[in-house]
Amino acid sequence: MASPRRVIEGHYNQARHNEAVLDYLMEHVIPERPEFADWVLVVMQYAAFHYTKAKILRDFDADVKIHRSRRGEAGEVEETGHNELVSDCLGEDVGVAYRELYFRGQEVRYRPFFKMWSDPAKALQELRLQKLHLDTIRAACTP
Amino acid sequence: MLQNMALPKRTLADMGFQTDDLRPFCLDLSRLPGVSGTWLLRGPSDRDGMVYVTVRGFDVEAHARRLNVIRTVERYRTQHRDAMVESDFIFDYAVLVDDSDLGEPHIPRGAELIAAA
Repeated sequence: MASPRRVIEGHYNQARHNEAVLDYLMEHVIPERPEFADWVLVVMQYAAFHYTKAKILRDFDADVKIHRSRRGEAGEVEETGHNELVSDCLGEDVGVAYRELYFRGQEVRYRPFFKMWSDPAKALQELRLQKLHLDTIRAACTP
Repeated sequence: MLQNMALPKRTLADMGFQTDDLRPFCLDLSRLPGVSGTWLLRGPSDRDGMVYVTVRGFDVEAHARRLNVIRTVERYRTQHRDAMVESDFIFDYAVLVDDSDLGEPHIPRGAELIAAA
């Protein structure tokens, strides 16, 4: 089993890897293929997840198993808890930034956002707007 | 200023936090700028509730309004966290984009419409 320190480093590495992918997509792919902007948002959400996970593990000694359960649409039990932990441990600004990325990351999986993004300029505008949230999270979560 | 951030006294004193305590808050949320609807999804007991909020538009202004809604809900959650924990109440929420180009926002069938603008 990996040591806590290795686990934390793993999350930071994942976040940096996601950001590298993100930068590449925004610079080289989206200007030509704006319909992939939805996946850029998903990558952003994952980067935000790994930054916040690392920060909480590092500073709050909490693989905090406060995973609370809630009922899903079909009555199944879903694990949740990280969203709440981000707000509770990292403060309101990071909590709000994380939630926005989380909600959009969830929505792009089943809604045709690409219709909105047939224009590369609009796609990049939206992505830059969302990336400000990732900037907030990175600044608060990196050593 | 939201009027219904506080809970009725009888609720906390007598029965703990219950799903119906979210109703006035949903009404308050519906009055925030850009909000087009609020829904409440009940759990199998009175001890959980999921709030869905839709915010009109998908542009820079709508983005700011979504953040305002998220911030408001987060403050509500913080304000009532102790009562929710004591009652073993599970609260969650989603703030969704309401824009005709994107089709219907994904709101579970069982969710009750509380307010629509």
